[in-house]
Amino acid sequence: MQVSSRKRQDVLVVSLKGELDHHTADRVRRYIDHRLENPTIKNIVMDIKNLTFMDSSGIGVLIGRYKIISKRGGKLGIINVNSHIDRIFQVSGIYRIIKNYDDLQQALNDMGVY
Amino acid sequence: MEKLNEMHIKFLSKSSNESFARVTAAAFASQMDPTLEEITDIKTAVSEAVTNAIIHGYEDKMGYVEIGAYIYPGKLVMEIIDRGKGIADIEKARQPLYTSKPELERSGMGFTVMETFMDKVEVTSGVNQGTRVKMIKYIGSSTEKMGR
Repeated sequence: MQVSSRKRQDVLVVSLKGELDHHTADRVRRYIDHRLENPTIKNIVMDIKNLTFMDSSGIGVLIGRYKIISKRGGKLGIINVNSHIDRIFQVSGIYRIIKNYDDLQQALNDMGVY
Repeated sequence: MEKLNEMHIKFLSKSSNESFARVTAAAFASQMDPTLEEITDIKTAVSEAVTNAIIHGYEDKMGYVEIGAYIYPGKLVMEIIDRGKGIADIEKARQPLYTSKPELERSGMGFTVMETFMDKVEVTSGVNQGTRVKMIKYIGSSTEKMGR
């Protein structure tokens, strides 16, 4: 599992590469939470284009980060969701709190970054 | 129904074995000529069941997780077995969003995901006796599936 990120104004864009399961979830969680120590970050966009596997452990990671960012009045968005991961998102009901954007630009615009 | 093949693996309840378990299970199932989607379904369901065994069955202790896989014509049976602490209330554990470990950021969706990606999920468990999750997936042409 490789995690990388970049900041676009108050949005943290996180890219995940590899397989997200219970074993790798902790690393992803610690990485993002370390970046969130920066109080100027209000929103997160997760780019999962290169995520080759995810089980429900990924849902736990997203809900946990959503809780942090929603306290700051921000949003959590996700981009490049494949059909398999989309089914996991659908059955888990996570789309009630996390928005699936068409692309990074749309996500950034919705978060007030132009 | 005639059993065509069978395999068993046994490994320590280390989280690093989660990917080993799902990849091995999928590799065994690949002889049934499944679609890529079916392979991903199997990997995901096995990953959920093995993670449950590691986190909930054994908690912080080490134990063995066993997988038995059985191939019948058009039908795959997977059993994930632990000898851990067991589930007191299976019905409650299977409910979406129920988790006994919210502090670990578990979503409580493990059984729901298994049920989504497999055709049948049976759970048998006894307190301090361990848990057995039996999952069935029908694999093959759409005509065979319609006839089942």
